[in-house]
Amino acid sequence: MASITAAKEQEVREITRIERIGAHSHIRGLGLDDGLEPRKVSQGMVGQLKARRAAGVVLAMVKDGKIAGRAVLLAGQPGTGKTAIAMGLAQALGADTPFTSMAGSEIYSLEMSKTEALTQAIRKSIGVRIKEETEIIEGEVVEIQVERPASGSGGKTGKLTLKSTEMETMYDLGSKMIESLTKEKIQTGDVITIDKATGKISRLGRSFTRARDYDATGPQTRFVQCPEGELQKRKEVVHTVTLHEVDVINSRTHGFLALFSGDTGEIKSEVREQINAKVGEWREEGKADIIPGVLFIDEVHMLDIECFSFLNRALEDEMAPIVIMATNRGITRIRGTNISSPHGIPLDLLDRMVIIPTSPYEEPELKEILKIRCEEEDCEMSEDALLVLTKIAVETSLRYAIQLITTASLVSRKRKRTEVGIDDVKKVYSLFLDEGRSTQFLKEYQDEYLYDQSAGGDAAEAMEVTVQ
Amino acid sequence: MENPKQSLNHLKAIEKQAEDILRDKSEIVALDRRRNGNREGLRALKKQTNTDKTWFAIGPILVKVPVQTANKWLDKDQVTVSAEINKIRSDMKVKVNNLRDLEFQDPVPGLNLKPLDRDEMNAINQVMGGHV
Repeated sequence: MASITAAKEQEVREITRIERIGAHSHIRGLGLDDGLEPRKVSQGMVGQLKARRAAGVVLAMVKDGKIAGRAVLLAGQPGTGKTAIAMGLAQALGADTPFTSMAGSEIYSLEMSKTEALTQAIRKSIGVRIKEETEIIEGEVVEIQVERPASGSGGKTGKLTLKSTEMETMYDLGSKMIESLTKEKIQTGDVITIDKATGKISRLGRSFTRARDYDATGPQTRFVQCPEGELQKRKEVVHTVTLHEVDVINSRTHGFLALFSGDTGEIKSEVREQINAKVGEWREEGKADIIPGVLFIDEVHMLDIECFSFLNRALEDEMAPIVIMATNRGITRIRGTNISSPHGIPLDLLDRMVIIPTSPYEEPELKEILKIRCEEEDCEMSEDALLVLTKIAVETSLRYAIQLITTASLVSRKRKRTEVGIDDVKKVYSLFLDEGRSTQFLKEYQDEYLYDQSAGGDAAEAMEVTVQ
Repeated sequence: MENPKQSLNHLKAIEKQAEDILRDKSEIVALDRRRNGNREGLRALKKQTNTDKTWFAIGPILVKVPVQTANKWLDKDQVTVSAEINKIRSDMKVKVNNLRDLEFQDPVPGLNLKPLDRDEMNAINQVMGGHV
């Protein structure tokens, strides 16, 4: 039963993911077997066996809570599946572990400082598991009797009969309970819960056995099963909130409004310290579990030296998440300095990280990925076309080939064909330039463009910034 | 699976634990039925003002006892029943985790946490957008 609900939650998560990161919507996990050995093609993952195996080891350590406060770097050329591995890791962690994904450049915002943005991201990646416990009376209403006193003065009294599948009992009601029953418009055949501590009555819906009471029912009528078991239940619900969410309630009086407007602004460090103290207290009393989650920073070379030194410090905090970073840079300048360093990351931070390299895909792997993407985008492609597309992917890039899938399927639909053929792929290949051909074209006709800087340094530099 | 006897023993252990949990569940239902019965009885005794003796069922025998004594008995029974239900509920948590362990599943997360206070929960509910 529990596993079914867990699976459902996973599905819900996936849907939100699809909308955010379309390019990796086909990833369902890391594609490892129970022994953490990678399968060749599984859960949307293809190839990168070594990197996936390494990610699997990281995953196992995260699950055991072992590597909190450490960092992992995924390094490799563009289009070698770094983000895919991070997404797979997130899926494999399950719904209970917080996973925050951000791009390195997200921290540059006018509304808050860089370190504030980083702190928020870090605190979004730490979960606090807490439990809510309520004593409730849950049952189907069999009968409500209300007696008005004959004199007209004094409160009303009444009786409420509730039943579950196992038993039936009668409660005497005071005037206050009768008032809330009338306010909630409770009638015979409704399934209700009464909170024992507050006396709050809520209506869950109408019982299925009463479904035929009326021919016409409103669309909002919800039918539920008659509750099972005992009438007086103890309901325990386990919630997972992130530290950032707890920060938000306490930083403002109108807490939840701030959460929905999306503008949380900066949160004072005193508030955070208070929250840390409170959560620490809860943990000691056995009221809360801390779940170190995962913070994924894509394009980490976009962070500058200040952020790196901040991260260095933040990783040492006792409540630190696992930070996974991805970069596609080789030896390059650290942003904000003139120093060159591998991956554009300072050496001291690099020293703290576990580095997982990814290598370029081989041709059969590329074909497999393109096939998966075709399925994901609901595009029927003929075997020949797929071969051509694979060749394109080898010669240009995987991303370009994936973009051709969508465009080619549009072209084939225009021609009223059910399957994408070689012609369609050729057509879009000629319509849309890949990065290489575009550069070639620019080089050829450079003198006809405006503001020509007579080639050389500037143009090359600008190119480096735009092509990411 | 190579060793049928061992597998059988394993299955037996699982079934035993599961059966135990189911038995506990029906025990809680029976106890709650008794609790509700007692409550109804107490309420009826309170309403009945003019007599000082009342009929009381002890098993299959009906006895006439003073109202005060009947009240005392019922109250005492209520306390015992509530304590018993609480005990079974907390034991059941351990049993469920044992069962999951036998089935090679992870324990239910957060099952053994202590609940938050009402005020604390209200604050948390604000974040989750639930009822306050």
